[in-house]
Amino acid sequence: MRPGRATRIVGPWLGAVGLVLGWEALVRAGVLPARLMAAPSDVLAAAVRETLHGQLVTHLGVSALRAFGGLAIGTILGVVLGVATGLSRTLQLILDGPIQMLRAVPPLALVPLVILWFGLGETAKIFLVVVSVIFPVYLNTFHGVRSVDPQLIEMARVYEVRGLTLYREIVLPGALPSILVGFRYALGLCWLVLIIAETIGARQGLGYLAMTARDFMQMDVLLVTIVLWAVLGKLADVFARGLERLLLPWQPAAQRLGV
Amino acid sequence: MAEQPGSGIVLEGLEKRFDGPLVLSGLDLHVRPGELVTIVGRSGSGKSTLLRILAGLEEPTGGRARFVDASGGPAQATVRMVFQEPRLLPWRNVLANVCLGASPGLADAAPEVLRQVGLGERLDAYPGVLSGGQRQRVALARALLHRPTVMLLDEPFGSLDALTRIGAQRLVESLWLRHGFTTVLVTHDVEEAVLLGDRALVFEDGNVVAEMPLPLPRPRARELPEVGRLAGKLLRAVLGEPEISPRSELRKENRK
Repeated sequence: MRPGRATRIVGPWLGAVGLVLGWEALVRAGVLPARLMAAPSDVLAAAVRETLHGQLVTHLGVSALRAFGGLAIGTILGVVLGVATGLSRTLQLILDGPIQMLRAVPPLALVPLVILWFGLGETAKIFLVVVSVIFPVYLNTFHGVRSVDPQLIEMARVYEVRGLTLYREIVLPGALPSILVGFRYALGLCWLVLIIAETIGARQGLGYLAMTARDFMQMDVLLVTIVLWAVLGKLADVFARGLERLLLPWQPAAQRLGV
Repeated sequence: MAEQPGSGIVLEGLEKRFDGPLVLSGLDLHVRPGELVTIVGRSGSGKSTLLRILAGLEEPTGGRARFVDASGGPAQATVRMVFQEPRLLPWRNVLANVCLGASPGLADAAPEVLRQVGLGERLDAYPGVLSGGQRQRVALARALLHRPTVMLLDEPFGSLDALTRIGAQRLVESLWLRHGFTTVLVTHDVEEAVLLGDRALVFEDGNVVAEMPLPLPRPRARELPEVGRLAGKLLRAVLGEPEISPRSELRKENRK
């Protein structure tokens, strides 16, 4: 049965609001021990307190910088590698094997190595993000370039479109939807890797905030970081969809999908 | 738009082999400058391969194909091809699609060319929102923009519905009359071949097995008995049936 109009508008909120209210009630009634679970109202208060008097904004900013910096570098490298192997069989033969092997290594397995290489500074954290972002972007770019409609390439030959124009007009736009799929996946992944990177020897960032909150048993602050993580994930997704609509205005799917 | 005369086409012993039997087997053919030749034949008879060689998409494995001017001397031909599928870039609007590969000087004429194919109002539309007939007209405009001396049409109306197809056929004929480019039209439709061609060729096993001059005045109405008669004759040639006039067939019937 299709939900009615009212249900469709209220529905998505109903679940979230119900969850928060139920959570609040369970903590207030003492069913959930306050030591292990802070009430939503306490979490909100902690968020306000940390924002006004603490360093929440700084931590958030530092994390965002690391995530987006790593994302930008990793995406550029992934696209360049993907386009190169997608266009040249020779480069594919040389590069694809090693890349596939490296891909099989979980980025977090590199943590001890990265600490030895770069110490505990920014470089180590950004490096981990870059490594985790490169592969999904690379794979999707490669696939996108390879699946550009050969009929269009052939048409371009008849119309004497060659070289850079061919890439700009046909290969890159043709691969773009696929590249964006990789980017969207990488956007989610970069936060995931970052929080773990930030629990190791960081002095700033959301991961660091969560670790210190754990050490001092600040349940409310800990939950603030978790909620922020969820909000950031959602924002990243909205951003990625907006990017798709901006870059792919010709796709009927982009016109149908609401943000 | 300054018109360029059509280039003649001369094929001498043209051969093409993909790993297997010959797709074109020693084809000899002359197409006069400005002529509209239609080619019919079964699938796999080599019609499309011939167009692809003329368009430079395939290299012949034997013989040669060359373009000549009115006096028979070698000519620098501008060859453009319209495929069965429109092959438009989905990420570019109509105007940008038509201008693909065109020099700035040529691109200036794009709105005018689009007007000629009846799409002067749809310059900003993306191919995704156009109908099949409109997309094929954009493809036609894209080819026209380059002022081709040779226009290759590979079943360009094959995927259109009957009504749209009639409109597209008339459009191609009027553009050909106006611009004077040499045209080779490959089609499955014998009636289309008779309606549009100065001459119809029947392809079988990589060579021309029958040739039919079509000295009918233009524009030709499909209701004309002459069109129907010639189309029927052409169809029998494609099917490889012996020539039987309707009267002799009737006599056979009576004898029974």
